[in-house]
Amino acid sequence: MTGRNRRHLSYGLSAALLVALAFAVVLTLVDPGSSAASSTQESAARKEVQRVASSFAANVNTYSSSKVDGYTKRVRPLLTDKFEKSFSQAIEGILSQMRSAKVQSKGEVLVTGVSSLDQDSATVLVVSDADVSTSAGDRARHFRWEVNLVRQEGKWLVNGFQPK
Amino acid sequence: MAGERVPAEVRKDLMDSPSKRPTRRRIAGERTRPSGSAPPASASRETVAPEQPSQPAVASEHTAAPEEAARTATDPGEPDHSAPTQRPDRGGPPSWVLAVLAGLLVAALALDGFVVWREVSQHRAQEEAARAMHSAVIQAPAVAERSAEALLSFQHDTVQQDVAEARRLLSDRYAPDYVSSIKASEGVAAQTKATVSAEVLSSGVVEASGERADILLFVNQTTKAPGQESRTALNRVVFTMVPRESGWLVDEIKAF
Repeated sequence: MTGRNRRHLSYGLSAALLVALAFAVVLTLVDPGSSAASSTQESAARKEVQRVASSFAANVNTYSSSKVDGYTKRVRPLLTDKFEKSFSQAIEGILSQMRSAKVQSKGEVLVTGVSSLDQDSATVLVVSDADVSTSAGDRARHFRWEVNLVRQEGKWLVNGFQPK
Repeated sequence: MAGERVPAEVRKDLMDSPSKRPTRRRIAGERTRPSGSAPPASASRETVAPEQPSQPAVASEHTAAPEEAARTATDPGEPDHSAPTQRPDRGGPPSWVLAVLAGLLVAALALDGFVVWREVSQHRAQEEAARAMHSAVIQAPAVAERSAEALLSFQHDTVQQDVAEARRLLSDRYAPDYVSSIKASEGVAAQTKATVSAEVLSSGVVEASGERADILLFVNQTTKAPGQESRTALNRVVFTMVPRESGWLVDEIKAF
C-alpha cells in the first residue's frame, strides 16, 4: 500500500471514528424520556393535590373554642381569594358555635383519592372523621367531601368543596 | 522470441544511427521495427511494453527524456532511477496506526450499538410504564365503579347466580373472601327478603401503579325489604384493583 493510500485510509478511519463517537454522545445526551418526565410530573401533582385537600379537611374539622384565632390562620391560607369570601360566612358560623357551645373537634383524614386532574384544576375525594366534644356530649362525625382545587401561581388552593 | 537472432538490416540500422548507440539483446517477445521508419526516442522502453498505439501520454513522457532512456539501455543491470512517478512513501502512517484506528472504529461502532439498544429498551420500558399507569388511572376506576355496583348489590332470591357472576370480577385471591361474606348474610336476606342496591356517586385514585390501583368510591347502598322503610348507607370504600389478562379485577374491598 502506498503512502498516499495509507494517508487516505487513515483519514477515512479517523472521520468514521469521529462520526461514530459523536453519534454515541448525541444519543446519550438526548433525553428520550419525555413520557417518563410527564408521568413523574403528573404523579407529583397527584400527591400535591391530595396533600392540600387532606390538609384542608383536617384543618376545617379541627377547632377549639379556646383557640379561635388559630383556626382562621390555619384555614385561610389554603383557600383561593374567591372561595375565601364565600367560605367566610361558614367560618363565622363555626366560630360562633365554638364560643357558645364550647365545642372542640379533632378532624382526621382517612383517605383521599384524585377524581380528576389537569394542569390547573383538580377534584379530590376526601374521607374524614371528626371526634366532636360539646357541652351537650360527644359524637363522631363521618364526612365524604369532594374538594375542588385550582393552581394559582404554581400553588394548589381550595376553590370549593361539596359534602357527598 | 528468446534466442532469436537480430536481423542483419536491423543491426545495420542501429549501427548507422547518428548517435551510434550500442546494440542490446532483444527481449523475449520483442518485435522488430519496420525498416525505414525512424525509431522513437524511447525505443528501448517501448519494446518492453506491449504495443499500445493509443497512449499518447506515455509516448510524450518518454520522449521528454531521451538521454535517460538511452542510459537505461546501455546498463540494464543498473537500477532504473528514471521511473516516472514512483515517488517515495513519505508521510504515510505506519500500519500499527491504521490498525489502532480500525480497532477504535470497531469499538465505537459497538458502543453505538449498545447505546442504541439501551435507548430503545429504555424508551420501550417508559412507554410500557406510561401505558400501565394510564390504564391504572383511567381504566381501573371505571372498572371499580361497575364492579362496586355489582358486588355491593344483593338480591335475596338470586344469591347463587349473583355470586357466580361476581366471581368474574374478582381475583382468585380475593374471591373466596367475598363468597364467604355473601354466604354469611344469605340467611338473613332470605328471612327478610331484602334487596340491596348500590349506586356509585364518585370515584378517585388513591394510589396507582402498573401493578395495582386503589380506588376510593363513594357508594350509596339502599336496602329495601317488605314492611320496612328503605335505608341508605353512605359508604366510603376503597377497591384494590389488580391487572389481569381479562382486565382489572377486584383484589380487596375495604370500607371506612
